Amino acid sequence: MQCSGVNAPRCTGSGNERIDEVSAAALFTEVLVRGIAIGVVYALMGLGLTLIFGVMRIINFAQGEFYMLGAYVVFFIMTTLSVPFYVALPAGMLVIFVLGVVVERLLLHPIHSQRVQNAMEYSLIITFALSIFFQKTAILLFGPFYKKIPDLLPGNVQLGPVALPGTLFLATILSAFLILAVTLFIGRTRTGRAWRAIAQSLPGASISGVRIDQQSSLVFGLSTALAAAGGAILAPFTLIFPTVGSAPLIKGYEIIAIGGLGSIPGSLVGGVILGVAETLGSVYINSAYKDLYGFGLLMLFLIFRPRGLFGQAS
Amino acid sequence: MKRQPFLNLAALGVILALVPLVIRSPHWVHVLNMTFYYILLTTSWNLMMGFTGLFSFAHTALAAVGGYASGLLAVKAGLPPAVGIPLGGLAAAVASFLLGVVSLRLRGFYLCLVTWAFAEIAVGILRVEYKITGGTMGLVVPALFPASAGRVPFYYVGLALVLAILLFMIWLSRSRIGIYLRSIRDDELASEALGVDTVAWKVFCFTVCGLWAGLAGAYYGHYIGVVDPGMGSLGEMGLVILMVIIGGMGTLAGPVIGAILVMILSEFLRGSLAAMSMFFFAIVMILVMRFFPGGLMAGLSRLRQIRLGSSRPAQAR
Repeated sequence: MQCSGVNAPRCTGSGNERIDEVSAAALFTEVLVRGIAIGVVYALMGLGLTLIFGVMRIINFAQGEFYMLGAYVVFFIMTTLSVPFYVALPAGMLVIFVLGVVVERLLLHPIHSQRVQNAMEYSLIITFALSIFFQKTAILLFGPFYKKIPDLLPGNVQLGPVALPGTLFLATILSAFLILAVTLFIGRTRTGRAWRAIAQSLPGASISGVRIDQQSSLVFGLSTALAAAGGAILAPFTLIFPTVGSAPLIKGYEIIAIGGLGSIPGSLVGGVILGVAETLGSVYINSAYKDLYGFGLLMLFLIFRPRGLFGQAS
Repeated sequence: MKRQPFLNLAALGVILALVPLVIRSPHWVHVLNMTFYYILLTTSWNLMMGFTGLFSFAHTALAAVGGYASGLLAVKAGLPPAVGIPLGGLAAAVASFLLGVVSLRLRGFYLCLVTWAFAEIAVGILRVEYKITGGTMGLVVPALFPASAGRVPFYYVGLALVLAILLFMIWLSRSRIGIYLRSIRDDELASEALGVDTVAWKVFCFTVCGLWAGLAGAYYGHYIGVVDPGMGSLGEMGLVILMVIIGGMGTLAGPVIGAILVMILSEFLRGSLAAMSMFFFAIVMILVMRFFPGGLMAGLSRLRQIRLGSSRPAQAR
């Protein structure tokens, strides 16, 4: 049994002994709660990707690198300004928001005019190149070594029969709060209404006076800021290194494949399903294949139900 | 005019066949052999992406499938590499065929995700099942030629493969099939309405591209002497995409020129700059996509038009 990473069950005692000790039902409950907790954090990543796809109809392959940069920025704000995490997190999100807007303006702008024949193809390749660029930049700037944000809440939190590491508990609460805030923002504000309009019909929104290019920059900035928040929130677990973003990127796509592209409840449910499947799979099947369960789900969903659980039929 | 591409290819073949007589340095022969490996991959990926519009991340993973299939046949069954290489190509073709069949309904982003998942699962299995595959350390496989023969025999095998794929591509792009494939790229619905069996031709494209990728991987394995899961990584895929983008997607010569250019440039970036080469290439890739869509080939055709004073619009793809 793997004793590192967020998905590993509590690592007290050595692997098999412990399974015998604890009754199967208790283990299952613990795995389930843990899966849900980590799933909510994954959902934050999925939400960012789904926002970009819903409004801009493009794919951001560099989302994982914004996650990575977010973790670094928060880390450096905390260490150089010696401010607490709760101050550094919004500041870091703001920095990445600005970076996201700049990237959108510089590189993704042509998709709003007719100059790019195939917006999807263009955005796929350019964000793929961007992800390589950010990874290499991070290696050049920060070196290949691990950085660590201290635990936010040391010790365990007892939730009924299940003990959850305090940091994971807090990460789940923070992610859930951010998801709720974004959902309210989209549902209740004028900007949110503009985004929903664009998602429904691009020409319709354009005719009604929505500036597509401006809103796209905002959406892109918000999505990257969400990714940055995810990176910073999970940093005490995953540590920070230049390629830390590739796994969450993968999780994000697996989530939207499960939950349905462009659907916010879908990304929440997809996150939880993925978190539970991974933890169940590693405990009951084989933890060496932990990262492959999600890919298996992704392939199955895309092949047999491409619109996912909550997506609209196209 | 009709025979021009074939004559060009023949001339290229003759020139390249004479190269080992001039270049004596084993190191540069090695660079050229690796270039052949990448030309096989870029040209076949270009057939998927540039011709048919199927974005696949599975290409280098298919090369790994070919390399491992041929390598395992040699190690476990004692099959000579000369027999194993075609069988490796066949194994990758079968894998690619199956991938094509299951992902038929998907396009664009969805297809990209499924092929990516396929690649990760294939590479993940190669990593985890170390008792059979040797795990992350890779699998030592016998070389195609004994070590005493040097690197030049490998050069001619690689050259033969490259000339074969270019011949195939020239034939394909001038045949009806080439038109079918491009019509699928431009508008799948319209081409289906016009009676093109889009399902069959997409599966055909998957299978053929898998075959070439598998051949490339098997050639690589029996040349280097080791196959490892890193062959199928996303980083390798990035390199292949980069070469095609720089050279010019959807053209015949673009992927070849791109592969040669990137390989030679990274040779000069070796040493203190080696770690930075992907950094530079990523910048180049972004700039090309943003400002020079169509890559070098589009740039060349624009130059030629300026020289000829032609008013024909630039053909980007």
